[in-house]
Amino acid sequence: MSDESQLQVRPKDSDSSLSLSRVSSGLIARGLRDAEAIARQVDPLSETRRPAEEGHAYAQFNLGLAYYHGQGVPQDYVEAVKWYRRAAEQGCAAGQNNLGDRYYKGEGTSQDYIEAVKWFRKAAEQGHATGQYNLGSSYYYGQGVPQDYAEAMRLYRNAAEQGDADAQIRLGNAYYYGEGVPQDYVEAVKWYRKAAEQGNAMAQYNLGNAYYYGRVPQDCVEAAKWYRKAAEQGNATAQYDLGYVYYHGQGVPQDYVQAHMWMDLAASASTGDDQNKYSSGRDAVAAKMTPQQLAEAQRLAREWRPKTR
Amino acid sequence: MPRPIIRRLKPEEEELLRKREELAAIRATLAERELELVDLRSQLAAFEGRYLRQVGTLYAELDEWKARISELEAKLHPSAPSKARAEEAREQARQTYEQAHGEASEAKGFTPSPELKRMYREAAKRIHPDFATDTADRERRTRFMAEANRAYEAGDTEALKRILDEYENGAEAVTGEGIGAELIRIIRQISLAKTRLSAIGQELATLRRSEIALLKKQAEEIQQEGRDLLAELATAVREQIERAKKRHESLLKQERHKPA
Repeated sequence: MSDESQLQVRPKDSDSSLSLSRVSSGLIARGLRDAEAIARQVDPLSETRRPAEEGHAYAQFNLGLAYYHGQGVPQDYVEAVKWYRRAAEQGCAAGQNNLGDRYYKGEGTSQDYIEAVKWFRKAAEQGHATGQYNLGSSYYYGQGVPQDYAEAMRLYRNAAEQGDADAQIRLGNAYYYGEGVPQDYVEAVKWYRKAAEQGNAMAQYNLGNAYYYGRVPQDCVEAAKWYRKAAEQGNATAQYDLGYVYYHGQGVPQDYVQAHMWMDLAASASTGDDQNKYSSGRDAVAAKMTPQQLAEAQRLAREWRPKTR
Repeated sequence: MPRPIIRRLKPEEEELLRKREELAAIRATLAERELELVDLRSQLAAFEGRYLRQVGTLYAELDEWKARISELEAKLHPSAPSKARAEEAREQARQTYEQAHGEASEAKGFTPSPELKRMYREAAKRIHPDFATDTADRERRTRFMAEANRAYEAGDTEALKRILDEYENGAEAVTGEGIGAELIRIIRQISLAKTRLSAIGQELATLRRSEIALLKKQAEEIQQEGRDLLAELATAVREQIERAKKRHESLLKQERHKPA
């Protein structure tokens, strides 16, 4: 009696009956996973769309957001503008700000700085931090309004005090360089620190610089600490400067491998003059290293991945 | 009209009668369960074929783009991990393609007619190898049953009828055997049939728990809402493909703009 001839009516073991699904199991499991996601969400926006169409401003804003980012629907800037506008016209500050931003960037509508300022202002007047920051930037750059640093700083400060990290950096920069306000390093560092502690890489780098160059009592350990935080997020300038302090042993123990790795990362993340500067710095470090150290530094750079905050 | 002669049955004759009845009942049950099994397997195979053609091929396309993206990334940022990722993605794309375009994807729809089902039940009752009297008989039954299964799955009523006829024509004449021998044979047949019944039960349960059965169940549930799961799945994968294409395109641009 041959087992093969019997297979048609009686599989040798219960497993062979599964051959039909076993052959392409990976592919079916995948469909099953995706199908479960599809079955769960009938229309991911159904809970938003109805109230939006009934006129609820917050739902209209959310629907605009979904269209803008393409979440649950295909990305569509024109639809996004339509829903932001409906929310904005009802007085929704976030909708006003985002509508202004579409005019500012010319997304889903033609670019129009004056129209952008009009909507930023409405949001800002309601105390919306991002609206204040955006209106402040319009004054800072003179886009849609005559340039006015003092007004820009007033608006940045309002947003910064509400915790807006971008506004905190702008205000910090203004104090650092004396732009629209009297130069004041202590104030500058105060605002940098607020943004840095929120994880903003640019603020972390600026704070590191303030410590390194002694704008506040000089402290190389603090400088290296903040350079590192910015560098780990992929900020190329901070990566180079972190490499530099490793090379000279400032605030960290001298370490050529670390120095080379960070300068190498900075060079590969940059272009043009920056890249030339960073790679010549890196090569100067390399000249002092053994082949083993060099190989180790290159391996570390290859395996490095930016930290997301 | 002569009066029928009523003979009192001996105890072993009575037992034989009872066992014959039991065997007939179990034959009918077994035939029914074999039919259920062959139907379920065909339905699942047909659904799997439809799934692979409608959705699987799109997954293969998606994985191809993912592999191309990983290969470009490895070229842009050469490193051992990026090279390994690219090779992994390429291998995945190859496997998905093979699965999506393999033999399983060719299975077509299956709707047996009542006549076909009736014929199959009949064939299973008469031919089932578990009712064989000896090894030679078992081999012959196994061969015929396999042919019957093929005819059923092909939906060929005529072929099934012919197989059944052929089997019946070639059936060995009932060999003279004593009551004791027949009783032993029937008891063995019943026992074999019971073993097979429990095996079928397990097989059905395993099949119903399989991934393809779960997917089919979801498709049927969603159909109640007037929706088509496979079509929605296909749309979702197509969207992923579009995104992958865009990502690939932007990487190509990066590659061109990369400073020397």
